[in-house]
Amino acid sequence: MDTIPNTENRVTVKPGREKERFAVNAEVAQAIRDGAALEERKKIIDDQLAERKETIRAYALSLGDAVSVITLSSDDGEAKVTFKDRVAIPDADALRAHLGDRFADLVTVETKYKPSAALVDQASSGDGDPELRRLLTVKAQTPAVAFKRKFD
Amino acid sequence: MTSKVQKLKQLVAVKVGRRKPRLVESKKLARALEDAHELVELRRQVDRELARKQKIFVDYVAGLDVPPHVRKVTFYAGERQADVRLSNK
Repeated sequence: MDTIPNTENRVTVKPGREKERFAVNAEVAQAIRDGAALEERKKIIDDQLAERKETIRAYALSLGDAVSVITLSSDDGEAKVTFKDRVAIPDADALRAHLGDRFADLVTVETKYKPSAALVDQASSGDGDPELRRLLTVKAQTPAVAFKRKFD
Repeated sequence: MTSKVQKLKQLVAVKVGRRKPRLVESKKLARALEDAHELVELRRQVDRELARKQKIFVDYVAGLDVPPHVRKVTFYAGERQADVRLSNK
Protein backbone atom coordinates (compact mmCIF):
# COMPACT_ATOMS: atom_id res chain seq x y z
CA MET A 1 0.00 0.00 0.00
CA ASP A 2 1.19 3.56 -0.70
CA THR A 3 2.14 5.03 2.66
CA ILE A 4 4.18 7.92 1.30
CA PRO A 5 2.53 11.23 2.24
CA ASN A 6 1.24 13.33 -0.62
CA THR A 7 3.61 16.26 -0.26
CA GLU A 8 5.20 18.40 -2.98
CA ASN A 9 8.35 16.26 -2.64
CA ARG A 10 6.53 13.03 -3.37
CA VAL A 11 7.81 11.32 -6.49
CA THR A 12 6.22 8.46 -8.40
CA VAL A 13 8.78 6.22 -10.09
CA LYS A 14 7.57 3.83 -12.78
CA PRO A 15 10.23 1.50 -14.25
CA GLY A 16 8.83 0.42 -17.64
CA ARG A 17 5.66 -1.60 -17.12
CA GLU A 18 6.62 -2.59 -13.58
CA LYS A 19 4.52 -1.49 -10.64
CA GLU A 20 5.03 2.14 -9.70
CA ARG A 21 6.93 3.01 -6.54
CA PHE A 22 6.67 6.12 -4.41
CA ALA A 23 9.40 8.09 -2.74
CA VAL A 24 9.97 11.43 -1.08
CA ASN A 25 12.94 13.14 -2.64
CA ALA A 26 13.05 16.93 -2.73
CA GLU A 27 15.93 17.05 -5.24
CA VAL A 28 14.28 14.71 -7.75
CA ALA A 29 10.83 16.33 -7.34
CA GLN A 30 12.35 19.77 -7.98
CA ALA A 31 14.36 18.41 -10.93
CA ILE A 32 11.15 17.09 -12.54
CA ARG A 33 9.48 20.50 -12.20
CA ASP A 34 12.57 22.45 -13.30
CA GLY A 35 13.29 20.05 -16.15
CA ALA A 36 9.84 20.45 -17.66
CA ALA A 37 10.06 24.24 -17.34
CA LEU A 38 13.51 24.24 -18.94
CA GLU A 39 12.26 22.13 -21.87
CA GLU A 40 9.48 24.66 -22.46
CA ARG A 41 12.01 27.50 -22.30
CA LYS A 42 14.26 25.67 -24.74
CA LYS A 43 11.41 25.36 -27.22
CA ILE A 44 10.61 29.09 -27.00
CA ILE A 45 14.29 29.97 -27.54
CA ASP A 46 14.55 27.55 -30.47
CA ASP A 47 11.47 29.03 -32.13
CA GLN A 48 12.81 32.57 -31.72
CA LEU A 49 16.24 31.53 -32.94
CA ALA A 50 14.71 29.82 -36.00
CA GLU A 51 13.05 33.13 -36.95
CA ARG A 52 16.35 35.03 -36.69
CA LYS A 53 18.17 32.32 -38.64
CA GLU A 54 15.53 32.57 -41.35
CA THR A 55 16.15 36.35 -41.67
CA ILE A 56 19.91 35.74 -41.93
CA ARG A 57 19.47 32.83 -44.35
CA ALA A 58 17.09 34.83 -46.56
CA TYR A 59 19.58 37.71 -46.74
CA ALA A 60 22.44 35.33 -47.63
CA LEU A 61 20.31 33.72 -50.34
CA SER A 62 19.32 37.15 -51.71
CA LEU A 63 22.99 37.82 -52.50
CA GLY A 64 22.73 35.08 -55.10
CA ASP A 65 26.43 34.29 -55.03
CA ALA A 66 27.56 30.78 -55.86
CA VAL A 67 29.83 30.37 -52.85
CA SER A 68 29.72 27.84 -50.05
CA VAL A 69 30.12 30.25 -47.10
CA ILE A 70 28.83 33.76 -46.39
CA THR A 71 29.97 35.39 -43.16
CA LEU A 72 28.01 38.20 -41.55
CA SER A 73 29.67 40.15 -38.73
CA SER A 74 28.38 42.81 -36.39
CA ASP A 75 29.37 44.20 -32.98
CA ASP A 76 27.79 41.15 -31.37
CA GLY A 77 29.73 38.53 -33.26
CA GLU A 78 29.65 36.51 -36.42
CA ALA A 79 27.16 34.35 -38.28
CA LYS A 80 28.30 31.91 -40.93
CA VAL A 81 25.83 30.76 -43.54
CA THR A 82 27.02 27.54 -45.14
CA PHE A 83 25.44 26.30 -48.34
CA LYS A 84 25.52 22.57 -48.77
CA ASP A 85 23.92 20.17 -51.20
CA ARG A 86 23.04 16.69 -50.14
CA VAL A 87 23.48 14.37 -53.08
CA ALA A 88 21.83 10.97 -52.98
CA ILE A 89 21.77 8.00 -55.33
CA PRO A 90 18.12 6.93 -55.67
CA ASP A 91 18.84 4.20 -58.24
CA ALA A 92 22.26 2.62 -57.74
CA ASP A 93 21.78 0.04 -60.51
CA ALA A 94 21.03 2.71 -63.11
CA LEU A 95 24.05 4.70 -61.99
CA ARG A 96 26.22 1.57 -62.10
CA ALA A 97 25.04 0.89 -65.65
CA HIS A 98 25.77 4.48 -66.63
CA LEU A 99 29.21 4.71 -65.02
CA GLY A 100 30.35 1.19 -65.90
CA ASP A 101 33.86 0.44 -64.55
CA ARG A 102 34.12 3.90 -63.01
CA PHE A 103 31.31 3.10 -60.53
CA ALA A 104 33.68 1.44 -58.03
CA ASP A 105 36.02 4.46 -58.09
CA LEU A 106 33.31 7.09 -57.84
CA VAL A 107 30.81 5.56 -55.41
CA THR A 108 31.42 4.51 -51.82
CA VAL A 109 29.39 1.46 -50.87
CA GLU A 110 28.58 0.96 -47.17
CA THR A 111 26.91 -2.06 -45.58
CA LYS A 112 25.49 -1.53 -42.11
CA TYR A 113 24.52 -4.31 -39.72
CA LYS A 114 22.21 -3.24 -36.92
CA PRO A 115 20.91 -5.55 -34.16
CA SER A 116 17.13 -5.70 -33.86
CA ALA A 117 15.43 -5.16 -30.48
CA ALA A 118 14.64 -8.91 -30.45
CA LEU A 119 18.32 -9.80 -30.87
CA VAL A 120 19.32 -7.39 -28.05
CA ASP A 121 16.68 -8.98 -25.81
CA GLN A 122 17.94 -12.47 -26.64
CA ALA A 123 21.52 -11.52 -25.89
CA SER A 124 20.71 -9.68 -22.65
CA SER A 125 18.38 -12.28 -21.12
CA GLY A 126 20.04 -14.08 -18.20
CA ASP A 127 19.70 -17.60 -19.63
CA GLY A 128 20.63 -16.43 -23.12
CA ASP A 129 23.06 -17.87 -25.65
CA PRO A 130 26.67 -17.17 -24.50
CA GLU A 131 27.96 -17.53 -28.07
CA LEU A 132 25.50 -14.83 -29.16
CA ARG A 133 26.80 -12.48 -26.44
CA ARG A 134 30.36 -13.13 -27.62
CA LEU A 135 29.40 -12.08 -31.15
CA LEU A 136 27.97 -8.73 -30.06
CA THR A 137 29.62 -5.77 -28.39
CA VAL A 138 27.59 -3.81 -25.87
CA LYS A 139 28.48 -0.27 -24.98
CA ALA A 140 26.35 1.24 -22.22
CA GLN A 141 25.17 4.73 -23.11
CA THR A 142 24.33 7.55 -20.75
CA PRO A 143 20.59 7.27 -20.12
CA ALA A 144 18.63 9.92 -22.01
CA VAL A 145 16.29 12.07 -19.91
CA ALA A 146 13.21 13.77 -21.37
CA PHE A 147 10.72 16.01 -19.60
CA LYS A 148 7.07 16.69 -20.28
CA ARG A 149 3.83 17.59 -18.58
CA LYS A 150 1.91 14.57 -17.37
CA PHE A 151 -1.16 15.33 -19.48
CA ASP A 152 0.58 16.40 -22.69
CA MET B 1 17.15 61.57 -37.27
CA THR B 2 19.33 58.50 -36.87
CA SER B 3 22.38 59.15 -34.73
CA LYS B 4 25.86 58.05 -35.78
CA VAL B 5 25.92 55.43 -33.03
CA GLN B 6 22.56 54.04 -34.15
CA LYS B 7 23.82 53.96 -37.74
CA LEU B 8 26.95 52.10 -36.66
CA LYS B 9 24.77 49.57 -34.88
CA GLN B 10 22.94 48.90 -38.13
CA LEU B 11 26.12 48.05 -40.01
CA VAL B 12 26.89 44.47 -40.87
CA ALA B 13 30.10 43.26 -42.50
CA VAL B 14 29.27 40.80 -45.24
CA LYS B 15 32.01 38.47 -46.45
CA VAL B 16 31.08 36.39 -49.45
CA GLY B 17 33.38 33.40 -49.84
CA ARG B 18 36.99 34.61 -49.82
CA ARG B 19 36.21 38.09 -51.08
CA LYS B 20 36.93 41.20 -49.04
CA PRO B 21 34.13 42.01 -46.57
CA ARG B 22 31.84 44.94 -47.38
CA LEU B 23 29.67 46.95 -45.02
CA VAL B 24 25.92 46.76 -45.42
CA GLU B 25 23.43 48.98 -43.59
CA SER B 26 20.46 46.91 -42.49
CA LYS B 27 18.57 47.44 -39.26
CA LYS B 28 16.70 44.14 -39.69
CA LEU B 29 19.82 42.08 -40.32
CA ALA B 30 21.81 43.72 -37.51
CA ARG B 31 18.93 43.13 -35.11
CA ALA B 32 18.60 39.51 -36.20
CA LEU B 33 22.31 38.97 -35.59
CA GLU B 34 22.17 40.64 -32.17
CA ASP B 35 19.12 38.62 -31.13
CA ALA B 36 20.58 35.38 -32.48
CA HIS B 37 23.75 35.75 -30.42
CA GLU B 38 21.74 36.45 -27.27
CA LEU B 39 19.45 33.50 -27.97
CA VAL B 40 22.37 31.13 -28.62
CA GLU B 41 23.88 32.15 -25.26
CA LEU B 42 20.51 31.64 -23.52
CA ARG B 43 20.16 28.23 -25.17
CA ARG B 44 23.61 27.23 -23.88
CA GLN B 45 22.61 28.26 -20.35
CA VAL B 46 19.40 26.23 -20.59
CA ASP B 47 21.31 23.21 -21.95
CA ARG B 48 23.82 23.40 -19.09
CA GLU B 49 20.99 23.65 -16.56
CA LEU B 50 19.14 20.74 -18.20
CA ALA B 51 22.28 18.60 -18.13
CA ARG B 52 22.55 19.26 -14.38
CA LYS B 53 18.92 18.22 -13.87
CA GLN B 54 19.33 15.14 -16.08
CA LYS B 55 22.30 13.98 -14.03
CA ILE B 56 20.08 13.93 -10.92
CA PHE B 57 17.82 11.34 -12.60
CA VAL B 58 20.68 9.31 -14.00
CA ASP B 59 22.26 9.10 -10.52
CA TYR B 60 18.91 8.24 -8.96
CA VAL B 61 18.18 5.49 -11.50
CA ALA B 62 21.67 4.05 -10.97
CA GLY B 63 20.74 3.50 -7.32
CA LEU B 64 17.43 1.79 -8.17
CA ASP B 65 16.95 -1.93 -8.53
CA VAL B 66 15.69 -1.84 -12.14
CA PRO B 67 15.12 -5.19 -13.93
CA PRO B 68 17.42 -5.61 -16.99
CA HIS B 69 14.54 -5.68 -19.49
CA VAL B 70 13.32 -2.22 -18.46
CA ARG B 71 14.15 0.40 -21.10
CA LYS B 72 12.41 3.42 -19.60
CA VAL B 73 11.91 4.79 -16.11
CA THR B 74 9.25 7.47 -15.73
CA PHE B 75 9.16 9.92 -12.85
CA TYR B 76 6.09 11.95 -11.91
CA ALA B 77 5.78 14.92 -9.58
CA GLY B 78 2.35 16.53 -9.74
CA GLU B 79 1.59 17.29 -13.38
CA ARG B 80 5.19 17.05 -14.47
CA GLN B 81 6.92 14.03 -15.91
CA ALA B 82 10.49 12.97 -16.67
CA ASP B 83 11.43 9.92 -18.75
CA VAL B 84 14.82 8.28 -18.40
CA ARG B 85 15.59 6.05 -21.37
CA LEU B 86 18.08 3.30 -20.69
CA SER B 87 19.73 1.98 -23.80
CA ASN B 88 22.62 -0.15 -24.89
CA LYS B 89 24.20 0.09 -28.29
